[in-house]
Amino acid sequence: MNVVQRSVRLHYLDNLRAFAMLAGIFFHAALAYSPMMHNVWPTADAANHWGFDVFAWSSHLFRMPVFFMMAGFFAALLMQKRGGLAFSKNRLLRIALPLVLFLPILSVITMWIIGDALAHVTHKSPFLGFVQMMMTMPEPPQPPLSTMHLWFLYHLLFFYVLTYVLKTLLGHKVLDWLTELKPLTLLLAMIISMVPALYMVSLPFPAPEWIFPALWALWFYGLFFALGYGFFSHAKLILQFDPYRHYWLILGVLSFAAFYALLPESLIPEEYAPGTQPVGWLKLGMTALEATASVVLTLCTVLYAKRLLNFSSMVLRYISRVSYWVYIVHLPLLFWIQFHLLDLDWHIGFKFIVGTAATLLLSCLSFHLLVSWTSLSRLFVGNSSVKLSQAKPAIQQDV
Amino acid sequence: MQQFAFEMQDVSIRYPHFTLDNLNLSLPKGQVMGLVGVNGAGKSTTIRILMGLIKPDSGQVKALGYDLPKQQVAAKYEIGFASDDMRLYKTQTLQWHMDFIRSIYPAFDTAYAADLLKRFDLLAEQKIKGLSHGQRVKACLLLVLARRPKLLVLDEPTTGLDPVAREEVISELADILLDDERSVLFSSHNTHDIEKLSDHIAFLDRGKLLTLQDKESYLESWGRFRCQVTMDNSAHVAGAVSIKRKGQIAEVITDQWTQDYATQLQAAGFHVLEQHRMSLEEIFVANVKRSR
Amino acid sequence: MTTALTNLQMIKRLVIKDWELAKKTIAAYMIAGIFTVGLMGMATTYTFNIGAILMITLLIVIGARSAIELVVNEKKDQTLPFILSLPVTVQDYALAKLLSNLVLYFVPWFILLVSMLVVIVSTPIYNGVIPLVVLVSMYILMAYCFYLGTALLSYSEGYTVAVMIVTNLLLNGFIIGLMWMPQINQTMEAASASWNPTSLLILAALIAISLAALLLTAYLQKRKTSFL
Repeated sequence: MNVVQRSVRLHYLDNLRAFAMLAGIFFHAALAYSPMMHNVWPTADAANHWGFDVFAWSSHLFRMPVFFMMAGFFAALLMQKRGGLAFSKNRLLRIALPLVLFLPILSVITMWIIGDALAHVTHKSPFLGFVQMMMTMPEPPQPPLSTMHLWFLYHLLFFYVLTYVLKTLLGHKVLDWLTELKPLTLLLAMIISMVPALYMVSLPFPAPEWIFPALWALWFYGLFFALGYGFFSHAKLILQFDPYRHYWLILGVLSFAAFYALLPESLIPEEYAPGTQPVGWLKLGMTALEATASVVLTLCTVLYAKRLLNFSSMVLRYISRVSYWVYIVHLPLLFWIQFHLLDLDWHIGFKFIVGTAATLLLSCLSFHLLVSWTSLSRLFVGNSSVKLSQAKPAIQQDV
Repeated sequence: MQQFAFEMQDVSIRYPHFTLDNLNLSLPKGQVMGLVGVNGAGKSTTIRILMGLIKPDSGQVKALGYDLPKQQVAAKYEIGFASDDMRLYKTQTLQWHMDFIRSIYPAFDTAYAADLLKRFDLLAEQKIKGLSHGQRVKACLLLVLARRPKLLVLDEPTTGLDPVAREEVISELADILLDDERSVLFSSHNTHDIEKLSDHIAFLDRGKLLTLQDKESYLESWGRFRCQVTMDNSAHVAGAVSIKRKGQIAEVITDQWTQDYATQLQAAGFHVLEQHRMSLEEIFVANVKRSR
Repeated sequence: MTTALTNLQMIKRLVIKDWELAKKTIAAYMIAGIFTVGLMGMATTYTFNIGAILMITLLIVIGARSAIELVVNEKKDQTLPFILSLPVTVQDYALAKLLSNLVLYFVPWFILLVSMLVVIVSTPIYNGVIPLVVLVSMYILMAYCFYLGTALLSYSEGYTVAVMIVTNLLLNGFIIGLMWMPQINQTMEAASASWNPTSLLILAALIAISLAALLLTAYLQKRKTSFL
């Protein structure tokens, strides 16, 4: 075997990370103008348009799964390159520490932003109205303990522990066996095994942001993480999927379309509006559509990115570099900006563009002010995130 | 400059059914001592006292200049100990054990360990539970030898081995002992093993040291005579350890064999028919019988 | 005899060794632990109760397994002579065992207790049950100290298992006894945890007995003259 020793950069993963991060900002921004989330989302505008729902919920089905798949891939890469101990140190530094540091800060800031909005916004969203009503109660209930959007980091930590555990208990046998399955069988197995987990929660699947690990999320996202892990450790696996990509794209779009058509008009949590969520066979069917769309669209994203995004671009490299920091800070910034947009009489399309652009701008600005030159850069900027130096030959031939 | 690899002075310990009584035992540096005794003679107790694992009721123990059990930590860095009741961790590989030992002993010799691995025909990646008893003994020896101890203490290293494995272990040990200038104490109830390896041999029975001599002295000073006796009364001969009579035939064993001993026997009325040198086993048995 | 603290390096090695040996078991506990915490975190009464029962079971299993696997089996499998041939005193060895067992047990015990408390505090479950939960958890820790001490002193599976059975049987009595006490049961459905002199006294007694058991173990260990 001819093992190439030089470093190879997997540009498409860098670029994919950049796009997925941008999609996250667009997603959160779009929810403010989504008819379905109108009663729930903190920054919901009086005006809305179904187009935002289509965008938000389609991207929702594969955006976070893509992140988890990439995380699994890099976990395998880092573990092979540096070994278990260095891996744990690295993950503690880059995942656990930011979580511990920023969760309290972001919680306080978000509370302040909501308080500020309560005081100053005239055209309050239903969410703000609800909070205001709660505040007037003699004993206002405590807001639930939340990991906010950092649930991603929190659950990642569990995946790292589980990776260690499964490696210790099972070795490579099970992964080897799974990756030997035919691509179609593997996907089908993933989809079917996801359905019970997704059936446990509302439609579309929510963010598991409570301070306890959500079992359904550990299973659902864990499968994507494991697939990503398998993509690295069994490099031919991803190649096997490639020939079918067009069919999967069609299947994914059709499943999503059906899923979307069946979604209720308003996505209020079941406990506040009983009877709004689908139940029984309808829910089972929708969950199956959701799982199918989620799996095939996630896979398509990676496969198409591998073909179309495998180039080096300065802009995308820059976005990839700042993406971790932007991910951490974008949500409070976005809320703050969108609360201020609530009282403006602009078109929602324009508000959406202004909101996302300003959030991105401020996030990047804060990156240069607070991170790029300080020790925070050790947490938020990887030195060379997507480099393969002594990785397996199969991958090297492949890039 | 101390001369002894270890010294035990007036060591006693009392258990309900066993007493080790005023044991005095020492081994000059660079020598090999074999400790022979039947099961329950006190070999293991002696060795455990020497390793600081049992605290004697009285007496002094020194090994490589360290007081035991007080300085056992320092002493054990330089003493290699293996016993037949010692087992390795079943679920781990020999490599794991080698890494573990290496992390403890700075003197661990990796190249030598690799060499021993070959000589003992062992596989580093094999788990201990898959090894035969012989392989396990060899694995234990490897772990002990590769740390290059100044004093090697082996408690019944060949017990329970089949003849082939025993032969392998003994010949490897003999080889290794040639290579190195180490002091060795090893115990066995098998005199053949002891005979092959030892310079000094101590006989132990019922908690007492019977004799301690170098191997040649035993073999040279002991002899057995088959004699014809004419008189009926039991005769005594100076230097006879035992005289067994069967009719007119008597078997005389002596521990003071010389060229002239046959003449002495003749003079005492024993007509010598045959004379034999004795094996170590016979010498040991005669010793035990004399003491009991 | 050399005092244990002069040989920290070796004690550390022995603890790491125990960790390596118990790796698979610990991995299995982790899965069970994450599952249990996740179950409790679903925050319905039903899953919380199942989670709590699983958690108590898990604590008992981890304790029993670590005492048997790491202490008794070392004697039974005859790996003890191997370890004692290394540069350690028997006291070092016993201290290392005590440490590895305590870490192995105390860490999951603590995580599980904290998770249980977080669930209680952050859900509609009455916070009044907190003293009961803490006392029961502390009792389980105390029982663990008992049978760990027994294992370390006797190296006998029989005695250790006997102590386990007795202490676990007494757990039921302990819980029933607590529920029966007016000072405990009257505040169970309160909105906030109320610690009163009775519950605090019981807690202090449990902690004191646990520490005493560990100290007694260390003391008796030091008096031993023969170890194999």
